[in-house]
Amino acid sequence: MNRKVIILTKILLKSGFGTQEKRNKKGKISIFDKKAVLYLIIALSLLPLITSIVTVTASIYNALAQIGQQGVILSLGIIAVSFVTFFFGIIYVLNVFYFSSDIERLLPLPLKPSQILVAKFLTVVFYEYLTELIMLFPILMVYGVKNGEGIAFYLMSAVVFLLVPVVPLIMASIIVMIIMRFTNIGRHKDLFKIIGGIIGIVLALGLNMVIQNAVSRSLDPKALQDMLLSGGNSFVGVIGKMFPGAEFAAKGLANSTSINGLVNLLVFAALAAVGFLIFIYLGEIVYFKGVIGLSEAGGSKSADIEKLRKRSVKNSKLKSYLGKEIKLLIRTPIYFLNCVLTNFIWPVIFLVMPVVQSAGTNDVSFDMLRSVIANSENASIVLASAVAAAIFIAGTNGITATSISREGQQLYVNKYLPMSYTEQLYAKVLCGIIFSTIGMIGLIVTVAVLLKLGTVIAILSFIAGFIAIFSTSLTGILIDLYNPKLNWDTEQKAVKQNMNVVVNMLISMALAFLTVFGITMLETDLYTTFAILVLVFGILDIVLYRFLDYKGAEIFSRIE
Amino acid sequence: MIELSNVSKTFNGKVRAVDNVTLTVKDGEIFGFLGPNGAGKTTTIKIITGILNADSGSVKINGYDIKKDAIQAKFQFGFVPDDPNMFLRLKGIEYLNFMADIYDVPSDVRRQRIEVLAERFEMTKALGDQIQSYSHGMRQKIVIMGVLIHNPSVWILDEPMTGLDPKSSFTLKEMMREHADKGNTVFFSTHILEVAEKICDRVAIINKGRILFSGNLEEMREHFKSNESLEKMFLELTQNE
Ligand SMILES: Nc1ncnc2c1ncn2[C@@H]1O[C@H](COP(=O)(O)OP(=O)(O)OP(=O)(O)O)[C@@H](O)[C@H]1O
Ligand SMILES: [Mg+2]
Repeated sequence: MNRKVIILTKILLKSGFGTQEKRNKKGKISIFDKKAVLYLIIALSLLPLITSIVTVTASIYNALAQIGQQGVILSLGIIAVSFVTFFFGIIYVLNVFYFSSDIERLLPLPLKPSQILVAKFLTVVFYEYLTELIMLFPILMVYGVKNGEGIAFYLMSAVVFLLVPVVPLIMASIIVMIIMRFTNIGRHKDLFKIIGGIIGIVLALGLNMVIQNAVSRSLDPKALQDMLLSGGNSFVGVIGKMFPGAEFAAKGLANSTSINGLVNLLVFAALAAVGFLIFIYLGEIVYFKGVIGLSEAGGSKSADIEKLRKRSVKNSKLKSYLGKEIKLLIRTPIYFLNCVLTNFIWPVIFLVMPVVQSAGTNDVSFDMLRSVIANSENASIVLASAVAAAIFIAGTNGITATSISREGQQLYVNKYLPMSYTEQLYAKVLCGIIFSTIGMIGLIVTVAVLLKLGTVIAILSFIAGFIAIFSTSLTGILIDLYNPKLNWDTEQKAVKQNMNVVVNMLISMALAFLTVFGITMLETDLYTTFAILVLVFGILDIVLYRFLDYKGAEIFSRIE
Repeated sequence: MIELSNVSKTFNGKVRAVDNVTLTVKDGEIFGFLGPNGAGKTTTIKIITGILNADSGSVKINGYDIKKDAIQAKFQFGFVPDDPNMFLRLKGIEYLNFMADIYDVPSDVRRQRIEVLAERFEMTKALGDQIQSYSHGMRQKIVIMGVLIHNPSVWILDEPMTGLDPKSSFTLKEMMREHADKGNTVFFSTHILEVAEKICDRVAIINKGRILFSGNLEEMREHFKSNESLEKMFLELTQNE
């Protein structure tokens, strides 16, 4: 559009990805680039998803090609991506248009609302391209290769790829802008972010479930044909109508060599352009009105003296400090989503979803798992696995591994309070232990209900797991003590781009593996196994605890 | 009482932020710590409060060494840092209770203090909200209230008037006077020379980490053999260096 918009977009993208991050205070350069490692891990974790999308697309193609209906794949893919873009769009738009802290710096600049708006819109479009890269790109490629398409198809694909997110995003933007303009829910920024994050996770899990489902069905081409062309199709049709243009894009691609195809593509592009103009026009009217004054959150109910009196009761230092840690963890959206919610997500991903999915099918793997667990010969392994899972939960939530980092530039406050550093560190470890334990209880209860884990093993797992949780919580805080990441400007960087979390996760995975491996090798009976686990982790806890006791305060006092 | 003897601190092996500072702030006085930007005021205060470790020298507060008797020493003072942005997601009342817990303030005492302080700083209505919704001045006030709630004998304040409205600024000055008159110690840094002139019993002027002068206003006037305003002396002091 114009130069300012492009410059602004670049800056927004850069700061969003945190590329301007400073080196740490002492000017140390780490041995390997931490961020590259992080991206590599993210990319690797997406591989299974991409692989299953490719497999599913290929088998759907085979099934539909038999009856000459393979074009349906394109509309399915485009509609699915539009749908996902729309939902992620709502979250992105809320964050980027309204909640990001740069808005206060942009408002005083001599820019038109539409310039800021377009720059922010382009930023979000760019984020959506990443989603598309995972979802749409493989579909287009598989179709192109299998259908033996020529250069025209790939050129059109590129255009479609670039334009697909536009219409759903415009819809998401308009909905959000109107809500933010005419209601005051924007005041509850933190709550909003938390809910948005949860919706995002649910959506991602749901999507994964749908794909897994498709994978299992794609084995039978006849069933697939029926599903796609009859009942299922009407659902697709409804969603398709939600996003005007998706059909045109699909038709364009399916007939890439004919004039008809080109016309369809042009209609698709024209719709996007018209939508964009409407968006700018509306944005010019409502955007600034919704955004100005957003940062002055809260302030609705005033406290009366009586309530203040009731709340003012003396507590011990440790309890009060712990309370502060917990409150900040729960109330800060990024911390809540990354450190608290993750405790509960694992059982859902690995147990609840697969079980729900396999229900009603002739999938017997869970029945087998149940009988394995029920078999008393396996009791020791089951116990060891439960303990390993508890270690994994405590190691991945990153609560203790970021407990110093999360203090950021405000760390100095802890230095002048008359509370010994050791005691402060205890409170921080305790905070991690509490959430990890709740997570572990969630896991054990889930396993007990879904996989019929026996009461005795459940109780033994709880005790041994609880003792094991101390170890990973302690290693977490020790790692963070030695190399805290304090120089951040957004909380995101304290927990998401923090290598300490990854290191402690790796340590916990190693511990978890060793636990299961060791017990498998030993072949001891249940109670001996229990005694061994309690003893080994008990000793480990004491050693780590002693070390924290002995060295912790000293290291803490050296952090400046 | 605050005693600094031969305190030095160097950053990155280069910047001598505090250079062999020796100072005594006696009971019953308001002590102003003056100096241009980057003079070393905040660094000195951070050393006194135990936030930074000095490279050499020692700091005692009411006789307790900040390094050797850290906890006892920290119980002696209340500190208002130059940046009031802390615990932004706690509610005002939660912050006050947190501070009261850390400083062992009994329930009935804190209740009464919260009421009085909230009234005096006109913060009663805001105490139920999260600190992130406060204005700069309100954040400053809640931090000051967090100090007053445990009624320490030594007050250490880093540019406490910044951002306060005239009325709150007046209230704070009034409280500082009352506090010192009861035989307690008030130590604060400021740029506002009029404030220092009006309320300080003694001042010290620091530049480039060195104490250029320390004494009462009379001595200072004598020292410069003039009756010019402190502002002129201040400029002279810092320029001659
Ligand atoms: N963390 C740090 N790392 C490196 N240098 C620092 C650090 N903190 C302060 N300095 C340096 O120490 C010197 C003294 O800074 P200090 O903050 O004490 O000044 P000040 O008197 O409080 O100034 P102001 O009036 O602006 O608040 C400055 O030269 C500053 O650059
Ligand atoms: Mg300063």
